[in-house]
Amino acid sequence: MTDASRESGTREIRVDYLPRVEGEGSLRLRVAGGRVKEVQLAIFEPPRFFEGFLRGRHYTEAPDITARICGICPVAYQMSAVHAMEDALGIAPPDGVRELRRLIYCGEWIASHALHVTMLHAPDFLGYPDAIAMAADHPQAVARGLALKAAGNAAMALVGGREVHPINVRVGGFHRVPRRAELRPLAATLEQAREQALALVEWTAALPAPDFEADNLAVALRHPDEYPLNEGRIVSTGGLDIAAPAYDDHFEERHLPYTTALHSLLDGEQSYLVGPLARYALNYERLPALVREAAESAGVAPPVRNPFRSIVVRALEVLFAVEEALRLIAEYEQPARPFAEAEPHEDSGLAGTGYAVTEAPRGLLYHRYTLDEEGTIVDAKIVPPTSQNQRTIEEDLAAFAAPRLDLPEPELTHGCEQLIRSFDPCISCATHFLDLTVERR
Amino acid sequence: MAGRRAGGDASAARRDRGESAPLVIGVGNRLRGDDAIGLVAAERLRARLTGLSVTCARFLLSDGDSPALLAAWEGERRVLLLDALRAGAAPGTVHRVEASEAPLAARLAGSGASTHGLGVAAAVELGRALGRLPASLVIYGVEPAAIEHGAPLSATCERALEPLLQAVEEELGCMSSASPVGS
Repeated sequence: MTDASRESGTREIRVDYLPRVEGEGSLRLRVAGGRVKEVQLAIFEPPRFFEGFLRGRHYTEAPDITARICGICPVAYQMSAVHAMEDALGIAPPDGVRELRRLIYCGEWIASHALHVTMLHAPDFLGYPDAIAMAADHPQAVARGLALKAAGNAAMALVGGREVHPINVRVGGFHRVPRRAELRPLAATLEQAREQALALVEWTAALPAPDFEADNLAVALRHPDEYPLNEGRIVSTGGLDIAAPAYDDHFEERHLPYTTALHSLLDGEQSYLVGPLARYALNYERLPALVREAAESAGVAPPVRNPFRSIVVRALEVLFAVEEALRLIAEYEQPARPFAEAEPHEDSGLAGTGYAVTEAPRGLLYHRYTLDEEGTIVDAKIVPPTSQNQRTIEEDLAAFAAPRLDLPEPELTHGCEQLIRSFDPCISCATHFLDLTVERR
Repeated sequence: MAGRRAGGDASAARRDRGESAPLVIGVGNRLRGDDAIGLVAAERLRARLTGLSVTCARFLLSDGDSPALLAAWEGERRVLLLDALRAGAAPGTVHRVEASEAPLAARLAGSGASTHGLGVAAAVELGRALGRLPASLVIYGVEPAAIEHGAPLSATCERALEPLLQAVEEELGCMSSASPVGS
């Protein structure tokens, strides 16, 4: 539903319900005197209070509670939760758990990216209102996207017990770990997925992207020798280099009146970008050779400054996740123990504060928990990728629209929507609320 | 319906031809009031048909994710899908839609109305475009009265269950001997 009003040099472009994004949000672009005056990406899903109702729950419940924040990226929430809890409790998971966690995370990246690239974003480039209309003319592309999503889901289901909101993840490891033989059928599925992912890269590289570049500050995890999933320092293209416990010293969440999602800013006033393009800019050389070769053939050397081209980078990350999952399966040794337990400290019991950042498909996901002696959560903070990208999305929209204000309304509106979808915003994840404290003097 | 023996002639004949029983898919969300009706109906039907001399149907419960539905009915000849369905009729109305016959009416497909993922209507239309629909796909949909978070089935939809189950049993050619009448 779109609406445009014109009166005496003032113009407003509104998209009241953004289709093909996860959750409910709207866009408002106000133009006066031939210039963009205001851009508001409003998120009007009701606040969800997850941080509030985590308080008073036992630390063991955090991975399963926070998984419910998102049906597309539940593993990301589980991973950030278990790492933060292990940090708070000083738990070192048994050997092999780390690799299984990477494997389930790869499954989620494959499923989430394949769905977004094929079903949500590609129709914009090819001029279709949705994937169903696109399927009539591009059945192979749609079938490939569905097959890739199924392969990702299979990895999540095998390691996690089921594909949506997996039940096998726990603080300290997994409830149960698979035997080597159980992983074999998944490897066969992923071998096929590798060919499909290569084709996906080629297909997305050929999609015509609007001519637009944005010089956004990129923030992502960086690990010494891996493309980042669960571990690494938080780095930026501006020279930031910190560990997760320093997150709150540099990143600040701010509440704005027109949206239920918080805006996140770096070091005072800086907007920044998280997600595939940021990871790609900061970690390209850590990608396997196969992925770098595909990137070179596709003509997408880093850094990719055109947000519309993120569709190709997402396809490259699908290829990476497939390749990485295959490596993990080939080298898999069943852990001797599925999980490690928390050992209460003599004086302080289970009390402590823990921090973790992992790379959700859409970018950095920060969790912080403080526990009391019994291991009950007394404070929780969760910063999802979409709220971190919100300010950057608005700035890019303003920059994109400025030289295009003469375009016919539907064309400009479509371009703006396509740009928003380039960030794969997960609006459901981004809606939460700060505590309201009333001070009376 | 009188005189039909429990278990049903249709399923016995099908067994003789070596065909597998139709797949009944219950779709819904147990946390959203009447949106649970597809799941509840499939479960009750399975319980009623258990113990008959022939297998009348196979059952699957689903959250309605369209890629999962497409995978579920791959290779199936005959699928009955039970779900809540909003078509603007009175709450409790039981709709029967032959989805394999013709594209779903726009009011059923509801494209653009939902921003959350891809559901049953998307699965049907994607399946049609990709040539991945069962030869026969019939959707039984019950018009919901309320889909509030955490609510149980409404009394209206509870009352719609029995006529729904009888219609599905008839469609399967498979009457449970224990079908309560007029309850």
